[in-house]
Amino acid sequence: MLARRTAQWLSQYLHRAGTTSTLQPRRHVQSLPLEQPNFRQSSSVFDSVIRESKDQTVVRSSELPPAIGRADEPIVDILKHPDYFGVKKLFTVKEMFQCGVHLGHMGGTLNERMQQFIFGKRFNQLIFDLDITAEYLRDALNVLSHISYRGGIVLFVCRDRQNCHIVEQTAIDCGEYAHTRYWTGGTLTDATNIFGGATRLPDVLVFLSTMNSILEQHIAIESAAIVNIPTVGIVDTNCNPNLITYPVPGNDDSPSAIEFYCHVFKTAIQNAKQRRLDDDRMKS
Amino acid sequence: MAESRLRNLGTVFTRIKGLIRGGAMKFEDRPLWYDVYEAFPPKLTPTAERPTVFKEIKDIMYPEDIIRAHFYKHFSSPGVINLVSPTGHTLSQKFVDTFLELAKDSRIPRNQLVQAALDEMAAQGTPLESEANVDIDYRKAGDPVYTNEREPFMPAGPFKWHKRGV
Repeated sequence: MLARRTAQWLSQYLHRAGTTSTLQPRRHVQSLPLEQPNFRQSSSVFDSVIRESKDQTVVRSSELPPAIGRADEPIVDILKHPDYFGVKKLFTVKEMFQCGVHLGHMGGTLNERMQQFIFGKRFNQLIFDLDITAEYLRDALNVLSHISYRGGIVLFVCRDRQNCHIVEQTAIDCGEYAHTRYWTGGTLTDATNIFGGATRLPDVLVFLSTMNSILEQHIAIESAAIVNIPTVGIVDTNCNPNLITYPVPGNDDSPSAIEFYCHVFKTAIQNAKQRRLDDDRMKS
Repeated sequence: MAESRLRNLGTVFTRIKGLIRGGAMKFEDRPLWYDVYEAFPPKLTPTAERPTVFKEIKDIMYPEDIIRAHFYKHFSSPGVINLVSPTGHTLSQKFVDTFLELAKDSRIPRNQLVQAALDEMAAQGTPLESEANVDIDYRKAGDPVYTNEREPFMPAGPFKWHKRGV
């Protein structure tokens, strides 16, 4: 049996390599024109997507609106500027598609509050409308940038085990905070007792997944609403977007999609912080 | 700090605004995000009891789905599919493309399109073999999917196809 399989494999291999073989190839397929997958070169979908469009995603400082206080430019009221940090250029809908942001859950698990963000279903798998998602993501990134610019603290929250490492790494990279472990009740609502002293709470919470480990809504969403902290959250088709201040409809399970969100959030925060430094230097 | 803990009433913004208006919080002590929220309010009011917007969720179908289903029925799923790389085509996609290209030629009889596509693929270096007669009987009587006379591989039924590609 093993020898026969080896012979089959060998015949296929030889056939593919362009040499002749006396062994008969497999019945249904005589030759395979497909390229062999090269897993070394592209470690993930996200990597290849970003590598292809790297030049587009980088916002150059010359493309940004003028900084405040420059001698030859009028002073810009930052909050009146529609896109002060250039977040609209951070990503394209095509990149979102390639990272699988459009993929939702099966039709039966749909939370009816998510209906308005859905494009349709393909063989009972729900598909997000990425044009809507892009609008909401751009709004969320803009607000996140403004809060970072003002020196606010961002807390990334994700209870998804397979994605928690990259979320923590993102928080480290942009100098912010992450909470990806068991959420002790009262972390926000009873912070003085939990941490043993007056505590500064975060100014915005970013949820890479609004579910906890048992697929119920994360407690931090209600906690943030109680202590009046706005939230940004990726909401999948089985989530409730109502209490999220800036919801972003999209896939919250696939590592490629999470890598995409982490990349844009990180870039937006880093850009905003850099912008703050530049503006302060201009003023002084 | 005096704060309302009624999370289901109003939004984060209206609750803080109420505190400022009522004098429980000074305007100077407002949260850092307050001005940002005022300048860029969310598209949907983030209240717990926001009414649901109902929308009919339609099936996404493409004309080539029938051809692709036919391919998988006869040839199963041969070869290796690289799920990591976003580039490149699967064998079934190549078959579908060849089929649709040949379907533009009206001289080829409609019931021989599959065989023509297989011949074309074999000529391009991808021979495929099947046990049975591979051609689709598009004009199967009584089957509403196959009774569109003008375009036999398009359905006649009440389906609405989405256009492929962006």
